[in-house]
Amino acid sequence: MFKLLVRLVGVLTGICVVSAFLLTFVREGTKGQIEYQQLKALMAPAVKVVLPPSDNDPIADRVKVTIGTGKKARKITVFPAKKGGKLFALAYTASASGHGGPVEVMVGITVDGKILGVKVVKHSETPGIGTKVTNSKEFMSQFVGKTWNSKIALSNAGGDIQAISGATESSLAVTNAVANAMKIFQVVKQKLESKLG
Amino acid sequence: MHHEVWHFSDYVMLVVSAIFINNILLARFLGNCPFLGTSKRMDTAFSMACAVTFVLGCTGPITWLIEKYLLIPYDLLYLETLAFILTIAVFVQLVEMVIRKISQPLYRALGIYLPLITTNCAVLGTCFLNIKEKFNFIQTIVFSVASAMGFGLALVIMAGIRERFNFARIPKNFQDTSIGLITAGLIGLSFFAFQGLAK
Amino acid sequence: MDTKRLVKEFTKGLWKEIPPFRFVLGLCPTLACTTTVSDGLGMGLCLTFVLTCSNVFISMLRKIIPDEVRLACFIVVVATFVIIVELVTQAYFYPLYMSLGIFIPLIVVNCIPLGRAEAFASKNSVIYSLADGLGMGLGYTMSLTSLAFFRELLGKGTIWGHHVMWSGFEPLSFLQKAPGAFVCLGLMLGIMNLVGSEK
Repeated sequence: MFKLLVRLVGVLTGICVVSAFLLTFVREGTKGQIEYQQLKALMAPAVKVVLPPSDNDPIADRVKVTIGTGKKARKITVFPAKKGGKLFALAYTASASGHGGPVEVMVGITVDGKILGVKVVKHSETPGIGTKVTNSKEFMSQFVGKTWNSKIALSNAGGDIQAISGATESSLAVTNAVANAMKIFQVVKQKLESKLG
Repeated sequence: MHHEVWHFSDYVMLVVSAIFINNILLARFLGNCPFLGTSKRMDTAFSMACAVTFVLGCTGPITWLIEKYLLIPYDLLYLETLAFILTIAVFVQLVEMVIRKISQPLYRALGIYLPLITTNCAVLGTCFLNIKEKFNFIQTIVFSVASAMGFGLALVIMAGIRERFNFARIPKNFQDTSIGLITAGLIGLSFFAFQGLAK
Repeated sequence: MDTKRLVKEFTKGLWKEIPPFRFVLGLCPTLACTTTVSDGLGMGLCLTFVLTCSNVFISMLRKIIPDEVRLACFIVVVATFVIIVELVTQAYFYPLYMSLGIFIPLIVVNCIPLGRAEAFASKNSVIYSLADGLGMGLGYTMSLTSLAFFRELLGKGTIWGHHVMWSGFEPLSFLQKAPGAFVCLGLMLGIMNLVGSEK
């Protein structure tokens, strides 16, 4: 009886160990590629909108940089755009809280800190009202040309971004998200350049 | 899924949708093997439906907890498939042992269907759907039970129709599984009428 | 090694015991993953890989695995290869991974790998199990692809995403929906019975 039990447990454990070993191996081998595919599906449409055509594939060349220190540290994935081997623009996402949850925007910025384009990648705004903002090309175009040190705020808060009427809350969320992105621009750029070498 | 608080009516909608509109068997194609295997007689169909409802009502929430408190914290999401199927297999085995000990009549009625449930993809499939639809714990319980009831309903309707096949003259080549599948298609077609219930 | 037997074990899966027509198992993906030819072919190849690998491994281990826990062992072996397929399709065939959805992890409960493990691989040597797995897998791929061919051609008017029907052709979109899948498979099964019984 005891011998049988040892054999049962032994064989099952053995098979599980071999299985775990094999899976860890495959997992490590495919990890980078899976991340690339998921990012491509999720981010490629947005990256295409906010960055001008480049020689490289910004998604394949993505770089992870760490912003902040200690408990506030977080990782940001940056998509660099190069021409002739030289970095000329970068894109990354930032978020701010909106009506139904966080609003995440992708912002494309030149190396001098000028906004090239903005696109909402994730939101849970009310369909029909909040989505008037998230889908509006005119609203997004208001950010183009702003630099990292210019004031990015709605007109009722001393800025010059015109909110979409009836959807002020969502307009504010997008504006805040863009402002958050620009706040960290200098640090992101510095870290990206040091990583690219 | 939505971030806002779910009201009672949302839960009713979830149940109606799981049973009638997105019926796990007729619209999502899960659990066909036991569906065709156990729908020849009404009593076996009913027993199977009860067994599936019980097992899914328990394993749905259990796998949800495993996902949330074991797989996500330890970054083991890629082992989801293995973890879920083993949970279901172990649970079914345990239930079988318990039922055999406490009630012989119940064992004779349900016991023989229990091993079939391990490989019933409606069970594993619903566990995956709970995760994929980002349900919270309560929604998981409601959806698991409702899904199983949808499975049971389709199974019982099918058995009712198939019992009549004994009196029908079906071409020899289309007997059994073939006519079963065609009938399932027609039941599915009639279930299309329920789509008006949503919105 | 007996070449004649090897050929026999391989070819039986292609016609004489072709799943899921002659060997009625694994119906769920047959219904769910056959809206387009590319899905059907992809699903078939995923299953072929899992079935061949699990057959080989289980046959290798057949003398070590104790009878009492053989089902648990089979499930672990099959689940391992299913996860490998899941990871590889996700990494290199992302569109296929997205369109097959939960049906890739559900290969675990497809019944064909488990059924062949129980009925064949646990009793035969490695080389025959390899032939059996490859034959059955390719047979299943053929069935899925041909069913998908009809459903895509008549239901959408396309093959592999390309328009092939004449311009005035009105697609029978019923075939693309769930009930159409049941009816189409039921009819094919009946026709296969007809062809098979002539011999």
